[in-house]
Amino acid sequence: MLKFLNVQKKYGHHLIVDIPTLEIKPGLYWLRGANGSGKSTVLKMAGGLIPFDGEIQIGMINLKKQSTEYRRLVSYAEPEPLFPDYISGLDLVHFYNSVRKADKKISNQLIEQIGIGSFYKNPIGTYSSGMVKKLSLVLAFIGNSDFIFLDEPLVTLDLASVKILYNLIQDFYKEGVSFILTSHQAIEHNHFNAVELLMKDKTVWFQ
Amino acid sequence: MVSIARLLLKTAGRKFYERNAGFFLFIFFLMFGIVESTQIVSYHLSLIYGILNSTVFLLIVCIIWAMYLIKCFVFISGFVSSGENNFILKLNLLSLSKKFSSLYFIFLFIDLPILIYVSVIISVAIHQKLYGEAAVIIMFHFFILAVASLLFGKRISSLNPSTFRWPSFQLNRPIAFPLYYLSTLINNHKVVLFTTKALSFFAVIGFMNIPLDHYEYRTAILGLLFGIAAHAVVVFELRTFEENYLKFLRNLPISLINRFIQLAFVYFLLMLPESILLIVNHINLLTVLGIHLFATGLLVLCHCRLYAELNNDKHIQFTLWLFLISFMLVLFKVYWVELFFVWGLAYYSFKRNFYQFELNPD
Repeated sequence: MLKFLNVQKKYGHHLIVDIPTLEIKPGLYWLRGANGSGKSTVLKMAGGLIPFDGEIQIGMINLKKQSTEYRRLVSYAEPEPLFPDYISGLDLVHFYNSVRKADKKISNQLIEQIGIGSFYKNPIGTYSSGMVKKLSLVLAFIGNSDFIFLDEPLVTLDLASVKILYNLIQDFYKEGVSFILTSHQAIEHNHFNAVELLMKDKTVWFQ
Repeated sequence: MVSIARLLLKTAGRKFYERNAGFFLFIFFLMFGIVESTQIVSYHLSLIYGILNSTVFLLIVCIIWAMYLIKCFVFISGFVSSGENNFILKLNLLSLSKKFSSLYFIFLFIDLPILIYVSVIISVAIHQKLYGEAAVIIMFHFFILAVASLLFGKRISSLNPSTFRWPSFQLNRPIAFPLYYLSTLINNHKVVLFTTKALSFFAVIGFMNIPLDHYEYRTAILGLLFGIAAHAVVVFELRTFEENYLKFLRNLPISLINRFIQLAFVYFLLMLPESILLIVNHINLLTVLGIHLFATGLLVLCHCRLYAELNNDKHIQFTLWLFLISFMLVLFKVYWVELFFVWGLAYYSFKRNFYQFELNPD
């Protein structure tokens, strides 16, 4: 279970996120909210990317106190990922495999499923934004995370890739992986059956 | 049509100086900030006499001037390639001589910081009756500006000018993680890297050639300290690169100590050329190892301090203070005390600030 306790995020004196308590059980979640409501900030905090006040933990593993162990349990994919131009997708896949102690067979399957096999050995500087997005999704799925946070996963993806991504999420979900997604585009609920969370008034509400 | 040249000056010219403000600040710091105010004139006169009296020195300085002009060329090419700046193609409507003179004027404007210093060198040369050297320097500048104007004119003759790119250096794949940093330096910051290493080498060689009665390894370290100060821009570029392109690392399960070791390894590799230079100059391996760890530690500390605040002005100030303190400690032969202190402080700063840093989204 992903727990937030007295989590606050401020920029200067401006309070952006204020979550007194929140418990998210394993599952498939869609975090909705207006632009600038703080959806991405919540995912970035839970992904260990940005500092915050308060506590976030999965089970008994606390993000601040057991930073490495916690990060083993979560993956995060950015809405508009940026990677160095002169390395290749292959370099990053190698790196993620080694750091996340991932099964290389599964990584290779992901490469094939998401469809980056034809270009991932080229330097990232030669990729289109859609290709970079696909690479970032592959990287998010590498490893044995309990929670995968996908921030705007549908941005720049073509329709065929969106369907592949939906199937992949469902396959991983069946294996026990939980997801929290943000998206401005309506996620196909029947296909997906995600529980809706609403980001409003600086906090997260169950719908 | 001259108005196009003026327009280009106001757009590309101004943009160039805005974009490179940090670079100029750094060069200004190197030229005028590291020397006591009372010694600035004698320092620069020594430098100029060195350029005028040594063919090798003059050759190397000419290479640096040419590199700067290549940097200008790359910038203007990139500027013209973006759609909204295609107005420069109107220069093609001018006669060849007018087109050439317009472009010459543009490159002259961008080359101005160099030309101001060059005019001082020429004045000194004439004063010293070194007319040959003065003529070589003047002709060299006429030549490189003419070549840049001609090449650029040829480039914009095409209706759809492509962006000029430096040749890229692809390392053998797969690239291990710490090499991501060096890869960006080699591919995206060639001029900064080359200039820094050239300055660093000059400083080390210059100090080691100070005539002394007996062998003294401290001269090498003192020279290296100038080299380390010259690396301030490189450190800032690497830290900025990390913030822009390696944010994903924060999500990965890597312990703080491992992250620190990998960062230290980056600077360990970066300072290897200077250490090889020391070995070639017959300094014993154990001493070189100590000096190498010292140099690496100073750069890692400068990098780690940037996790507290990513501010170039304060970074330059910090590097300067670190340089001054280190200079004193080396003079008093206690640099090894600083070696332990620097590494300890670097790790403390890293541990305290790595996860706490965030660029203000505004």
